[in-house]
Parts: sequence; structure tokens; C-alpha cells
Amino acid sequence: MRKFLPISVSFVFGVLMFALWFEDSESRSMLHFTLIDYWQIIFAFGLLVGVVSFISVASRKISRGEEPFYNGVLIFGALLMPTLAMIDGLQPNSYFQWMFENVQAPMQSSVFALLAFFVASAAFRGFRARNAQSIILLLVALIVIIGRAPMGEFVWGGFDELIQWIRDFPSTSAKRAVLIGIGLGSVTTSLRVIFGVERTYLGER
Amino acid sequence: MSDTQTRRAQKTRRLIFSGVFLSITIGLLLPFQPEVTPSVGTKSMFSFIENIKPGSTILISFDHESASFPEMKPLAIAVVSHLLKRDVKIIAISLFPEGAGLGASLLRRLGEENKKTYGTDFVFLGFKPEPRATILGMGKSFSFVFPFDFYGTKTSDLPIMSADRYSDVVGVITIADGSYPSHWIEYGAAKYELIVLSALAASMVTSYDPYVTSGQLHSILGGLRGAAEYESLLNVDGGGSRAMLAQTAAHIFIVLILIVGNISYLRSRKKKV
Repeated sequence: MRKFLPISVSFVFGVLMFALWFEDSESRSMLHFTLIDYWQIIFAFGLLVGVVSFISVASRKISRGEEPFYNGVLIFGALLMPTLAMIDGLQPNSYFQWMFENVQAPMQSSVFALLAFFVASAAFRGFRARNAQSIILLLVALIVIIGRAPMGEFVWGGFDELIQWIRDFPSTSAKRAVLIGIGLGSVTTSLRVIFGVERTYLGER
Repeated sequence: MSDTQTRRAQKTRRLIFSGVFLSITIGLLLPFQPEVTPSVGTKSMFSFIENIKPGSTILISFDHESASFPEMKPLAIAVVSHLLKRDVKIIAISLFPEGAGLGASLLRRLGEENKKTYGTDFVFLGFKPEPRATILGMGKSFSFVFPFDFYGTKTSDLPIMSADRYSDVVGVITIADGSYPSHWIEYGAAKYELIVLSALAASMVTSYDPYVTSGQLHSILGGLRGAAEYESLLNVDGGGSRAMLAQTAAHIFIVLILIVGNISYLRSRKKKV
């Protein structure tokens, strides 16, 4: 029963959602949109599970004495933002919006900006002319880096066309091959889940 | 790795980090803006918006996190300002919780600057979880997924919400830093024939090129450079244009370290031989 029930649910809803994608009649559309409504509700509960799990992990760490200050700040932040939203709302001048714009967004942007430093350092070590393939990669990287900056137009007027060609042909064909692979993989995995062949989500190996 | 090699690697890293910092800082401080020539994608997005009939409605989706906001903000400002100046009505949503906070304040500010009325000329419906379910659900009606706007007003009470279906809007512009435009293409465009345009983080542009060549994505406005190009078409001085010198300086620095790195690599290889 423990396996039969989730496999049956996957089969029924998998086939149903697939069939409803192609159906436009009023009654079947109603069923489709009701299922979509439940999909969002289930997902919202998933978010709630994430928040509860996050707070319980951080609390456990505090009780074990593992970085109590940082974990305390995490819990405080996680509780503060929804509390502010409930007390003062989400209006442009609310405390929530102020905290979001002046604390959360700048902090996240700062951490993300560190990538520029690491990318530069990685480029220095990684882009080495070791063999024919890496020479091609290095040359393409140089063309794109020079051409995408405004200075590229002063160096050579043909950079834009060359970069567009790189994007339209070598880059797009490689990317399209990857996308087709992902698409086929998604279809295969979906069919395996719908027909109960893929059971790793039930804890099976 | 020997101690000397480790020390040398650390020294090189510090030099590179300092170089990046200096090149970006100097680029931001100098009062000079290099000119940019608009690319095909930028021109395509610009002409799409130029050709929208005033009074029409468009959907905008803020599908980005706050981490990428410095890059997304100039893009969003350029596109939203152009739409408001063209008297195009905007229904905005967010498929990311953080995008909701950022989109709400940006829309309010630009709406006030352009003397537009909230609820009549623009509206922000907020965030809903699960992007695919949200896009598909909006196929029934926007108010089905968003019965209330971001501020708690009933959407059916807002005049702008007379446009309540995909067929009532001219298209969707997704301002994104990740994979969400593909959801708009796979669900919005495929099922509801919605025209999808995208303002993307520079790192994501090549991922979406195949969709442009296949005609599934109308156009891409890419990164800070895209914002600067769009600002040049609008004849305004914005965040994208101001960042171009810093970006140029950083690019020159990276080209230099690539050349220096390869010269030192080739020399060390010769020594080994």
C-alpha cells in the first residue's frame, strides 16, 4: 500500500494533466484549472515546510552551541520580515519594504558581486592555450569580451557582426543540442514516473 | 604545491582582485560615457514597444532575485519607462518572491514620475508560487490566480483589470536572471500563443538565443550593455549608460590578465621542455 498509493496517484494525475493539456472544452478546462489551483496550494505548503525546517535546523544548531550568533540572526531575520509585513503591510513606505530595499537586497547584491572577482581570477588560471580546443575557446572568449564592451567598436567595426555570427551558429547549435537532450530526458523521466518504473522518489534505489 | 608556489598564487589572486576593484571603481568615478551602438535584439524590443497602440495593455513579469538587482534595475527602468511614455497600460506580476518587492517599488516610482494612476494605468499583482501553475492558471483569467493585488485590493475593482486574459494583452516581458523565460515560452507561448519578450541578465543571453532564432521568443534585451543600448535609443542617461565605462575597464583588465597569464604559461612550458 505504501508504494501502490503514490504510484497510482502519479499515474492518474500524470495521465490526466497530459490529456488535459490538449483539451479546450469548458468542463475539462474547469478540471484542469482546479488541478492547477491545488498544484499551487501544495507548492505553497512546500514553502511552509521549508521555513519550518530552516528554523528547526538553526534552533538545533543554537542548542548545540554551533555558531549561535549567526544562527540567531538567521532566525531573527526569518521571523522579523513576515512580522513586519503583517503589522505594517507591504506599502512602498512600510518597514517591510524599507528592510527589503535597504538591508536584504544590498546584502544579496554584494555577495553576488563578489563573483566578478572570482570570475577574473578563474579566467586567469583557466583560459590557458594548452591545446587546439583551448586556443579556440580562448580566442572566442577574447573576441566576445572585447566586442561586447563599447571599446570593441573603436578597435574594429566588425566585432558586432562576428559576435552575432558566433551566437547564431556555433553557440546556438551547441545550446540547441543540449536543449533537445534535456527535452528528451524530461519526457523519458516523466514517462518512467507515470508508469511507476522510476521509484527513487519513494526512497528506492 | 610548494610553499613558494602557494604564496605566489595568493599574491597573484590579490593582484587580480585589486585590479578588478580599481578598474571598476575608476570606471564608475570618471565622468565619461562611451557610446554604444544598439544591437539587433535591442532594436527589435524597442520597435515592438514603439508599435504598440497607446491604451493597449502589456504583462510584465519580474522574474529575478535581489542578488542580480544592480543588473536588472537599469533594464527594468528602461523598458517600463518606455511603456509608460507610450501610454501602454502595465499589469505586473512576479514569479519570484524577491521580484515582488523590487517590482512593486520600481513600478510605483516610475508610475508617479510619469503621472500615471495606480489601478488605471498600471497595477502590481504580486507574487504567486510555482511559476508553471501560475502561467497556466492565468490562462483562465488573471483574477483567477490573483484575486487581490499586491496591496490587498480586489483585482475585480481595478479598472485596468478589464484586461483579464492573455488575449487582452499584447504580450509579456519577462525581466529575468534565470530559467523563468523558458516557462513563459513553454506554457504561455505554446498553449496561449502569447508573444514573449525578455530582458535578461547578460549571463543568460546565449541560453535563450535558440528560442529567438526559432521564433518562440520575440527578442532579448541583454545585461547592462542592453540597458545602455536601450537608453541610447530613448535618449536618456540611465544606469546602463553610466556603468558602461566601468564594464569597459573591467573587460580591458580581464583581456590583459588573459594575455599575461598565457605568456607566463607559455614561458613556464618552454622552461620545462
